[in-house]
Amino acid sequence: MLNLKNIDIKRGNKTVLQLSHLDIDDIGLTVILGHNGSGKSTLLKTMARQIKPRYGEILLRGQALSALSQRELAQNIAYLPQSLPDALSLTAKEVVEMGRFPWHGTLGRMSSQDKLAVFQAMQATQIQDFSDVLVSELSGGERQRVWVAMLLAQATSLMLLDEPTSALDVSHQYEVMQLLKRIQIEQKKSIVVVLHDINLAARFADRILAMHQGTIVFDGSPCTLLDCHRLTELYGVDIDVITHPKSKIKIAVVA
Amino acid sequence: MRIKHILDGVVARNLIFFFLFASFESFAAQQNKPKSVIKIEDSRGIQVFHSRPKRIVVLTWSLVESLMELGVTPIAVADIQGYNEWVSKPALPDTVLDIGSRQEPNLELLAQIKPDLILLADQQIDLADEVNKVAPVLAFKAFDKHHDNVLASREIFLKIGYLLGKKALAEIKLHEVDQKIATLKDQLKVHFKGQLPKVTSVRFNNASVVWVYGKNSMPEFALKQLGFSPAMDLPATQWGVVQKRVRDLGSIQQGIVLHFEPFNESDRLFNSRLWKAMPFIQQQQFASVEPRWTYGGPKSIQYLAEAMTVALMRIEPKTP
Amino acid sequence: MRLIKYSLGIVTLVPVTFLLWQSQNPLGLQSQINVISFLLMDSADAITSFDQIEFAFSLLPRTCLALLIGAALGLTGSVLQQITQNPLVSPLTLGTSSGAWLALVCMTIGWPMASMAIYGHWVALLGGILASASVILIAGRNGISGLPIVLAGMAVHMFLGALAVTIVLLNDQSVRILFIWGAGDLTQSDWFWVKWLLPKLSIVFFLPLFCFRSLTLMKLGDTNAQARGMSLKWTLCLIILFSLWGVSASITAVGVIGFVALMAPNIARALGVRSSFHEMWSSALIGAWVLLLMDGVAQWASQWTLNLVPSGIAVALLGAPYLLLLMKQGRIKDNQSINTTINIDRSVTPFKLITFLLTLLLIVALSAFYSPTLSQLSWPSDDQWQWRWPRMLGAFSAGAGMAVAGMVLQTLIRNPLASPDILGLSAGASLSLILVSMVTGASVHEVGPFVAFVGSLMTLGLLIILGRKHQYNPAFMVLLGIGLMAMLDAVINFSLAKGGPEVFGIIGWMSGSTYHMQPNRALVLTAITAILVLLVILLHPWLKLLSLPDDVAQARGLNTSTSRLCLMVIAAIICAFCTSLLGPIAFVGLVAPHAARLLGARTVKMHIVFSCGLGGSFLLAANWLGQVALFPTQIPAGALASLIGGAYFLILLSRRKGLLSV
Repeated sequence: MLNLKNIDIKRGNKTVLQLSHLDIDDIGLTVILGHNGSGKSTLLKTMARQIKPRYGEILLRGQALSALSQRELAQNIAYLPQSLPDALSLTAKEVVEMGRFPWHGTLGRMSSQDKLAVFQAMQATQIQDFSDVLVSELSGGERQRVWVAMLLAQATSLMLLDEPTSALDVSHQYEVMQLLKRIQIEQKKSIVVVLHDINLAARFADRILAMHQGTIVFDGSPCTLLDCHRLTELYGVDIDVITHPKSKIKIAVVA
Repeated sequence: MRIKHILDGVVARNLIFFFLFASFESFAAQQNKPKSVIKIEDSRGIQVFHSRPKRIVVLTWSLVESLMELGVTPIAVADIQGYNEWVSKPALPDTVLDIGSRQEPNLELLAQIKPDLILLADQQIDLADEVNKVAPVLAFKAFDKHHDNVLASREIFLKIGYLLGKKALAEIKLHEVDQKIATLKDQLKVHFKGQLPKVTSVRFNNASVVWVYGKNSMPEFALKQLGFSPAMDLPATQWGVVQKRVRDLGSIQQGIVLHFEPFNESDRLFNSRLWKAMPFIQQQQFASVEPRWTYGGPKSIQYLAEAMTVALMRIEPKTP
Repeated sequence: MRLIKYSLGIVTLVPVTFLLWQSQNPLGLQSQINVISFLLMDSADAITSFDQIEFAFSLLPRTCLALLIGAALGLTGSVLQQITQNPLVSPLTLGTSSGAWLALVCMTIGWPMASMAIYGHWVALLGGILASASVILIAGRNGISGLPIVLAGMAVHMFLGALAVTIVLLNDQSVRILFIWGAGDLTQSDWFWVKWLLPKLSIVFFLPLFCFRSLTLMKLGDTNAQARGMSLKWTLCLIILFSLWGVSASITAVGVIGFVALMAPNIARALGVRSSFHEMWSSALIGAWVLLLMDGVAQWASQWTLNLVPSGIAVALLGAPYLLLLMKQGRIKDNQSINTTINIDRSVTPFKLITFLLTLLLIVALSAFYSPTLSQLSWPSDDQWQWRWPRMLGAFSAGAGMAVAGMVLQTLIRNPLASPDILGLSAGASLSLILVSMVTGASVHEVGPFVAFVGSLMTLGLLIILGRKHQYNPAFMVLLGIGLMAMLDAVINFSLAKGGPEVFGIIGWMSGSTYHMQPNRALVLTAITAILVLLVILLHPWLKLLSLPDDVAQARGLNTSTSRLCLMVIAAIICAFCTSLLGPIAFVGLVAPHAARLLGARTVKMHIVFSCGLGGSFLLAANWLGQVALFPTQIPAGALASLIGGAYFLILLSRRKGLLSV
């Protein structure tokens, strides 16, 4: 779906992102992991064209990403940044409807297809009950679901989310990731998510990219990542991998 | 000097007019119906009147004076409270109606009192078309950088007099003003022993800034009529005033400075060293004039001249 | 190294001062030194010649005052800018000058003239301090750093300004003497102000010694500073109080010269001063330098012009371009835009809607049928109707237009305190009218709406040119607009100060009146407002997206800078049309969108429509009330709307704990 080649982004003299080659699959949930400043957000923003790298090329289904208009881009890629406003005088439904903007355009009206997409997105995220509630009146988890619904309504084949769970408590973190996973499978999408939590990533990801100092140091399945040596090397602290007594899922803990 | 000549001319002409037409005019005034239409030129062109207006509304203060001088009391005037406070002469009777502010006279009220003439000037000229829906309007440009404000005000006075069938009276009034000023001039000549000094009048803004009355201002004109030349030479402006720093008055080496009351920081300024060092203070050539309106009509020139004469008489002439 | 820089700064002051003196008076150097030594030895009586006395009692105190006030303003400006972390805070933005101005105006009207000379400066001082204190209270502790305090300051500034204009309008002649104070002039006739100011400002100069630590901590952010064990609340209060004291005292003495306080710290930072301690001192030094120099320019210019050139205008005219240049180069870090909204948990109920519609009907009925000349309701005669309907229509359209413009800008700027006049468009219109009227000698109404329109469009053009580099970042645009406004205000004050009786026409225009709303004007205004409001409704998807952070909006396929520019231009054009036909109408654009939320407008489309209706009815009501309240005198609708709107606004703020603390 998305191919990145020879990307090199510098801030001052410091390299923040350096990739020789990266392909994002057509279907699947990819998680980008890494410690603070490892370049994971930069990578995601580069994919979303929020950052335009001076060197290298990015192809979307073989077409240069930079050649797309803003609207074409949004018809193909739905990006959700990390920091989202809590206070917003828009209703939940209005926010979700904004996901249809790339399809109906500035002066276009909401077609029945748009309405259907909005309805389905709200149904999938279970936010129909508060469609007329202002976003600022929602709880953190509900709000996050509204944002995800907006992405869904955008109906793109690729979704990029930057730490969608960071502001949420544990139960909501799992809820959001479960939602994303379900959508990914049901709608056969490609979703890329930046996460902090290794275990959360390992639980839902099909593929994990681990980053360190602007380069990808690991690219593979969660099972391969959950190896104490690899993790210790990646994070620079001793990390053990144990098996959960009940669910038999592998869990990484700091030793 | 030039203006003096012109004025002498005006006075002479007025006198001739007076003697020639006095009898006819008074006859016409009795009839109160003009033989034919009356044509008056105002700032917008020739205005035609078929009858002599009686119910007159005045929106600007300088024309109130003119009208009252002609013995006609307007039925309504703008901002009467302000008029009483700042112009005060001639006093308005209580029967006169307040028509609102000078910037925004109340149109509905205006329509209701059914005037047959509305007088306005200068800043209100743009209202002329609107007000014209109620009654005929005369709009005058009284204050302008490019004409002599006083000559203009005399002309306006005569035009109003002509319209009201009182042209003779208007000329008499103007003549009276000139004569009164001439008397004052003689008084002052005696007082200053024939050696008239230079005089400039000012109004203080605060202890450090002052408005100086220059060319095209009423006080300067009154002084010129009284035979004085200005102690500070300033070019003509629309309203005749120029704002200066108080210390600039120090450049007046020779001559008298008069200031118009009220001035609320007088204690501070008049006791300061800088002020006491001013040449005109050192030579005791300074006096205060009681409050006067300085944007009036022809009659106010006389009021100004009178007030300034009182002040000038208090100043001891310099012995050479 | 620093020591060298400071001493260099101080040492260069001396020759500059001397050079200025040489150009200003005929005394020789020896004589000048003699005079100074006489003064120092307290034997002033020995000075006799006029030139010497002028030097000793006019030029010297003036120089001292310039140095003193320049330093005080520079210092307090630096302190306030550091506390608020906002490079464009100045006495204007904190409402100090308008507070002092209103106090002086009230006093001139209410009290006998004589007491003015004795108590005037104390009243001004009190007014200034009260106004700026209320600004800080409104912004709330969390709003002190950043955009909220600027917006709160502008709101208070406008409210007090409107109050003052109304009073001036109703009592025109008496207030004339105050205008020169508004323009700010340093001219002295004695040592009075130096003696008055010196003890009051001496406290201010101790500020850096005890507050630089707190200010350094402040840079870490409030919470961080508190975690370092600093009781920020009280320290801040104290520092702000002292600074405001200094600013108010300076303004009281010489009038509105606040621009120095804005400029000096920015120059200091541009010169590379980093630590807060040194920023304070160097700002003081630069402030003294700048004011002395600009005052010299003003005096020098006065020799060539007929009317005096006040120091304030020299500072503003020469300072503002420099400030704009600084901003264009991106030297000033623009503030993070702060997402704030008013959360009101309400929805539209039929009851509310019906009440609103009935009220609107009542206002329309009163405007149409109440005859103030008879104090009764009656069918309007043709005469009455021909004046009533254009004014009614004009008031409604202008109110509706300004409300929508305000709603658009509030969404773009993401702050409920933004109002359309904050972009400086009204100031641009006023300025062009005044300049043309000054040159041609015609009244502002003769000059006409076209000139005003061109003026506001030119301001808009300037905003667009300067804002391009920053992609029309809303916070940047606001700061730019305020900077422009500060400059234009200085020119307006200048022309008011010098003017003859024509200034009352200008003030009348600036208070926003429907008086000159002739039928064709009302129809044009209505048509254009209707078209533009419809356009805004059509573009409502943009408005929604732009209320989100830029990256979110872009990811939905919106070209944020183009769409933002378009909406800003639409709002500006509405604003320009209303301003050129009615004069500046403040507060409608601020209050109506808020009231629309109160009424229960939830979606953006509803918000636009409700704001439109509310704004229109609001100005319509103000228009009617202004015509009947003091009959036959009329209070301009704009002034009355500002008074009512401002009061509503302040009540609202006092009921919540800071509008902006979300």
